[in-house]
Amino acid sequence: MSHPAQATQPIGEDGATRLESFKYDDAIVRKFVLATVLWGVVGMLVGLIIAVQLALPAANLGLEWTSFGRLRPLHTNAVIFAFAGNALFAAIYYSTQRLCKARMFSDVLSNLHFWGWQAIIVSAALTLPFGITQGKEYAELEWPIDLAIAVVWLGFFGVNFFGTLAVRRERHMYVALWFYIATIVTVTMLHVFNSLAIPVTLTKSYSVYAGVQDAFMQWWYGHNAVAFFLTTPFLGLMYYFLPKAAEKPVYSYRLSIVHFWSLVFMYIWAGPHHLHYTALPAWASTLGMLFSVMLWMPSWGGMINGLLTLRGAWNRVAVDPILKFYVLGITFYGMATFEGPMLSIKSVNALSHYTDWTIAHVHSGALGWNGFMSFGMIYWLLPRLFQTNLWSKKLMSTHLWIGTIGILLYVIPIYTGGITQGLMWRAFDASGRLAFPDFVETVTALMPFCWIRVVGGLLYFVGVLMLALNTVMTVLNRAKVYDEPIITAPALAPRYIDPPVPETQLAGNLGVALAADSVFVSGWFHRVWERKPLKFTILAIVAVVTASLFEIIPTFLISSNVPTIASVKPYTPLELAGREIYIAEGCYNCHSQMIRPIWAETKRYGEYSKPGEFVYDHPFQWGSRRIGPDLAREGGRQSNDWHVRHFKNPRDLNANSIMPTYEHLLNQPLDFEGIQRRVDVMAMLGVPYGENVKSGKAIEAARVQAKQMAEDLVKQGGFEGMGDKKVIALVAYLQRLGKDISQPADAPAAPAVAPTARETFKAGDKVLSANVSAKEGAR
Amino acid sequence: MSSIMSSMELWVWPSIAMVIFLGVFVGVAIRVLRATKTECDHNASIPLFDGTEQNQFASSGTHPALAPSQKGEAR
Repeated sequence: MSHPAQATQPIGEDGATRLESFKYDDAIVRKFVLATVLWGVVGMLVGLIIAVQLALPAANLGLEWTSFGRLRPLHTNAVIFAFAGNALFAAIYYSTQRLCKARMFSDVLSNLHFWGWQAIIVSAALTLPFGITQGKEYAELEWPIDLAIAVVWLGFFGVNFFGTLAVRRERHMYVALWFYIATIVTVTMLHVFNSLAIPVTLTKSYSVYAGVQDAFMQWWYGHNAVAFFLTTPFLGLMYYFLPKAAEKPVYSYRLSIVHFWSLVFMYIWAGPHHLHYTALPAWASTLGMLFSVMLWMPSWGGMINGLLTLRGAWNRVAVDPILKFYVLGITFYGMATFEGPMLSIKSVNALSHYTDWTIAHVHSGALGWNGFMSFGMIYWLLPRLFQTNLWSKKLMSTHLWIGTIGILLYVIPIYTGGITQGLMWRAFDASGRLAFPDFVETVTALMPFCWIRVVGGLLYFVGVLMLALNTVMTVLNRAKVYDEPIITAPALAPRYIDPPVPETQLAGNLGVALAADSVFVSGWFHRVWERKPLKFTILAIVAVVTASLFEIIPTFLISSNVPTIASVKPYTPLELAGREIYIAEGCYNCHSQMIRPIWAETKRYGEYSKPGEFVYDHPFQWGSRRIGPDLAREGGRQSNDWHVRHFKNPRDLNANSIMPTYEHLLNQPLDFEGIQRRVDVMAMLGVPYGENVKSGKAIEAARVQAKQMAEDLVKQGGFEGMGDKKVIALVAYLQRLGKDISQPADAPAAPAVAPTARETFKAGDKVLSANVSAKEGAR
Repeated sequence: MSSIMSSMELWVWPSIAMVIFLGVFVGVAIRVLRATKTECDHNASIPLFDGTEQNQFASSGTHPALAPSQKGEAR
């Protein structure tokens, strides 16, 4: 029953079977497995800490480095790129060698990949808590690290992987390898294009995209990072390790082919569903929604294929915790991939977006799918890699159940809290006013759910500690000298002769049908691709690039997608410096800057956001979550003094606030000298700064505005000596937000003194309507 | 380029996208519907034979890479 082609294929030049001997490189797999466990502990510990901070702000100990805005990116980067990343590398290195019947192409590249990736993770840990960030979710790392990622991912990992495919001894590329191919090429494409930026300093860069286009690129990246970093490689893992653990082949190889192509082709379109009702063109978000809904089918096709692989083996599932991990992981995948399309439907998204519902959705996928699939793989690998028995099967079983309970306790309260949050935001009383006009009411209502989540997260984390203990003890009991079996396999013949194409059965039909059938008969075209890595890779690239271009080209090139607004001017040099502090502190992790055209939002925050308002925002700062209120029209709502006191201690002004203290901003000096360089780079990106670009002008302008604001602050009875502190720049930025649209088109680029009174905002409303209707086309 | 693109009707884009999608889907469907059971069985069994089980085949003299896969398992 061997492949018909293989059976007739002469092997070796003399036509006889020529066996080659080699060894699998399991040392590199051992390293990635240990790194997975280590970073799993670190990443989830940070997650637990920030979960506590949401319920108990003082848990950041008042330190700037441990505030929520700085630690949340560390948590997401650690669990995605460190924990899940190392897990998928372990899976790929182990399975690729065996599926190709070949040692990895280069041991040097394997080790460069491993140590390079760990260096990147350490770099992230050393930069994010210090506010060194690009301010784009899941793509926060600054440009030198981005360059390192590109080199390590493609130069070391990619070359090593494709080199292994080139020297393989198994003619057919098993479906898991297809998923790995899609992972490598698509992540490269996503990372490179989303990270395009102009460096300002060694630790700062500005995205080349602005506003709507930056948002589109970011969520094209963000969504597909989920798709091609957390889904496709883990599906490859499932297609290899589940049959291995169950000792049964995958349920349907046919279904796996449909699963692969439909998933790869559809996933890439779905990114815009993260931007429903925002300033993104409606056609793009509708397209994203439709493909997201269609995506449900291939996702469930994969889930069904996984679960049915266990047909006839469910008796083993009952007694084997590893299979239980897989069953639960695949089940969570099924639930998350049902919920994802549902959340992408606009009417559902109007309620769920910015709420904790999204966080629950993400964690059911991350903890259930990525976590449990990784744990199952690690427990299966540990005895094989370290050539000893697993230290404690009982502890593994306990991990399974405590982890499952942890996930449920984590997600159920946040689902409840998220829906509560969304309903409270949009609730009106009988007189047509917001039922909960004070945002903090919607925060305090969630506190019980936050605490239950902490308990759930703690249980899950305890489970990870059990894994770590089991790993350490198993490693301590490892074989003194690893037995490295010598594998023999026949080399592939240098030239492959295709078996004859089956004859068409359409004799007597139209000529067109005959011609088509000669191409498609028995799906011959695809059968050939399945043994040609280069052709297969090119076609996978075509699939993802086609989809991307159909959304990116119109968004970037059709001018009506981003109508300009004459009154929208660039930020002043001081405001630009303040914006950088806003990004460094990670304010976007809790505050959005995007008012959707929904009555409850315009009632609470003001006029809905327009695409033309963000044309100078490198990068955009729309955010994806509202732990605090939206800030799109914050300018002029509060006095400068209010803002400074609020940063010093939010609870001095609002006893129930959960915002961290930012007292350090009142003490740390503002780097005026660095402002010129920042303005120059913005000008390079097309921001019309005019006179400010001249050497020294930007610094001078920033000092003048800071001095005026500091004097104004004192007049309001506020703190003295703030004129050269970071806080003054941040307040200048906040006071500018959302104000341009209410200014006349010929207004100066910035007010001499930052506006202070609520009346300013209200007065501007009168100008706003006429200004917008005159300058902006219909969305 | 921007002017050319701006003059195009937006409906063109999703329409072409749909045609491409249907083309890909039909092609893949043909592939899987016309695949033979023998071929699918062999491909699905590849993970189960990674070379480490060769000793069990030693007596028959058949290398696992060339050996028949398990029958009747994959669809």
